[in-house]
Amino acid sequence: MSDAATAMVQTEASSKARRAQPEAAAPRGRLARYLAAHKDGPTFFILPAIALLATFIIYPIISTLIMSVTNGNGVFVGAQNYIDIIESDRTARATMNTVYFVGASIILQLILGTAAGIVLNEQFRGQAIVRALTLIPWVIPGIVGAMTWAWMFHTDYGVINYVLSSWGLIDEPVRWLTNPTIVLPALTAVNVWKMFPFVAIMVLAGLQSIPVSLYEAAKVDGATFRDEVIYITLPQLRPILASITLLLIIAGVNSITIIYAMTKGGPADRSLITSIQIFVEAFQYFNFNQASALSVLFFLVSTLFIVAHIWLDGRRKER
Amino acid sequence: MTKSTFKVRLATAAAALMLSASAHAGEVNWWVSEPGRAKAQQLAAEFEKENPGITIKLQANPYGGLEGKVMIAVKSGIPPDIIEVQNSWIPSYQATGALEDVGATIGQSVPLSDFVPATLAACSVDGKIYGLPFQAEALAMLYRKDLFREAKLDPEKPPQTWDEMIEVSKKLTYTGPNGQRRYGYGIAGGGAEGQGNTLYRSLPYIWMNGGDILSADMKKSVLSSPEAVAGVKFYTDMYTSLKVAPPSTLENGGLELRRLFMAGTIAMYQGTPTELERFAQDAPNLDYGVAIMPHPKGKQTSALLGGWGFIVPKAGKNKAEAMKLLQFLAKPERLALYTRTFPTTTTAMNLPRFADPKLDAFKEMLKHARPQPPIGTWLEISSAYYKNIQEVLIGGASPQAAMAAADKAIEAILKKAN
Repeated sequence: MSDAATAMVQTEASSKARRAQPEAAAPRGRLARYLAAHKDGPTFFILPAIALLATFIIYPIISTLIMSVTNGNGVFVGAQNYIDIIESDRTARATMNTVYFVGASIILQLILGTAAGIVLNEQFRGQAIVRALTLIPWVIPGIVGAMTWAWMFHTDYGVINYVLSSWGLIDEPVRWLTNPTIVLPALTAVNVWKMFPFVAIMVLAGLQSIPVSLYEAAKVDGATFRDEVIYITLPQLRPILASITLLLIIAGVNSITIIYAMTKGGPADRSLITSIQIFVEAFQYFNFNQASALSVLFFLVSTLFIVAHIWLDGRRKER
Repeated sequence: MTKSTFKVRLATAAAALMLSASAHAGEVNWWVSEPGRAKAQQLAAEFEKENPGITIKLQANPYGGLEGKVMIAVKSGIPPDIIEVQNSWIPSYQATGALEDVGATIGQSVPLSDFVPATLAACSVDGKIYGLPFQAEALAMLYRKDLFREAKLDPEKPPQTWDEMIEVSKKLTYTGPNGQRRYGYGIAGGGAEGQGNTLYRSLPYIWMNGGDILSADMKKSVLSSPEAVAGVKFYTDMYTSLKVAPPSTLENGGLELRRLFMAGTIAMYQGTPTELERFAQDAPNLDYGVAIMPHPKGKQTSALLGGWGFIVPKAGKNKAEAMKLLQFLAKPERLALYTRTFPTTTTAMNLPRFADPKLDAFKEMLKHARPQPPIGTWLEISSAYYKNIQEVLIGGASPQAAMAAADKAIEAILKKAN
């Protein structure tokens, strides 16, 4: 009802405006003349979209940029926030952790996801059920998965240590989330578990678009399953894997749920990643200016990666 | 439906919407925390009866993320009229001058001299009172009498000094008859609320030894002083060198410690008065005692004062009604009703509800309790402290080196804020 009402009011208003147009004086200025000449053209039709973009993307970016060069009272301080944040020991550690977490996650997600996709593409009994089950980690909310894993990893009453010690594999409980050398690999494993079904399902879609004739031709030439994978499947999947990698980079650098819910970046920053550092600076310490500076740097670096990726991908296609 | 009647209806609907979004005059927006909901409803009904014409709009918020939520509400320009907060958050809210001075208002309802002085100090910045404290508590040592007996220790003689504490903790650490590992003393070093939980359990050791995090004028860090480092060493040694704290120490906050205590994995830990209710509910047969915190020989024990209060944001729309509600809540019997641990005034404390002898040690600790320093950047400062306590616990640095690093980080935070 209310949507329809708004639409009606808008239609009425715009029809009034159109009727009023001829009576208006001849528009002055280049922009006004352009708008008048094109008022029924594409410019007007994309205005709502532009307005939305401006409100929700361009304005926040500009205000972040402004906050990054001012202090808490809005006074211009130049590059001071950037210098402070770059000099902070936390930033260096968070950057290393982010590179490790995202890099290792993507490699494992691609390997595991592609393998799962290829297996799921085979014909076998219960294929539909297995396909559905594979999706579970990706479908359940991140926070639920993270909390469950945190309980399973718990040193004293977690099920993982319980199983390992009852099989006699370990004598002392493993401190999965508090041993500084184990915590990041453990979190990476959870992240891989969470996202590999996404890769699997994308790969599966890609596999189904590969012409069957290629495999038939290969069979005639006496190719094994392994040969088919290496010489037909993977090369045919390359464009889709490239897009997936890009999506995984974006998801990886922005992932905050799993680590924040499980360790909050601890112990002693050993699992701190940059996105959590920004979150904590801004919304726990209320240092919006330094958080903005860090966000801008983070944005530039991730953009660099993404542009490089798109460029490489484009060059590959040209060849 | 003609166009004109449609327009009228639209306008009426819009007006109705606007009215419901803005507060009525005489309506007080009152935010409480989730555990206080039932009692707040009871008090609100009583208040509305006493004050016809004023209605209370109650909102109960969960603990998680409450500090930030209130900060955003207070800064938004359209805050609720009266908010329940932890007293230690008040300085950071008042850093931008967002709160109303309520000292005189409370004084008209209850003599300020009736309040335990530390509880008013916990709500004050620069000598002005910005909150009505209704709840105060300090941690005490909870210990399992049955485990004391099993280890051939006298359950009526809990450790008094640091040396006795170490000795007793060692004796309580062994593998039980059914293969269960037992540990003497569970310290907090992490968990969901790790930062606050660790601060409350470790800072008193620094205080009783004569050290502190900040100097008295809050201008510089004194964490690398020998007294402070010795306090940190006593706390962290329990895990790192003595190994009388369980392997999960870096995952344990108050909640986890309580669970380990009930399971018999740890024999002693520092707990709040609210734990007693939980024991009565979850483990009614638990054989435990409550003792004051052990202190260095020849020195006094100490505790970090915890507590909650009500604040009135300056930008609130119904100031007069909010102040009326504050005066209503300040009466001793209502403080006693609403608090989840102890009330903040002497009159309220003497009510029969707080006469249980099990609470004696908690009351004693309350006498030694000190509030957190009233400084806007306290959360960031205590975060630097917490991070370096964890650094010691994971074996990344000695107490000396870690506190020197914390000292440096805190100096940087203080410099930035000035």
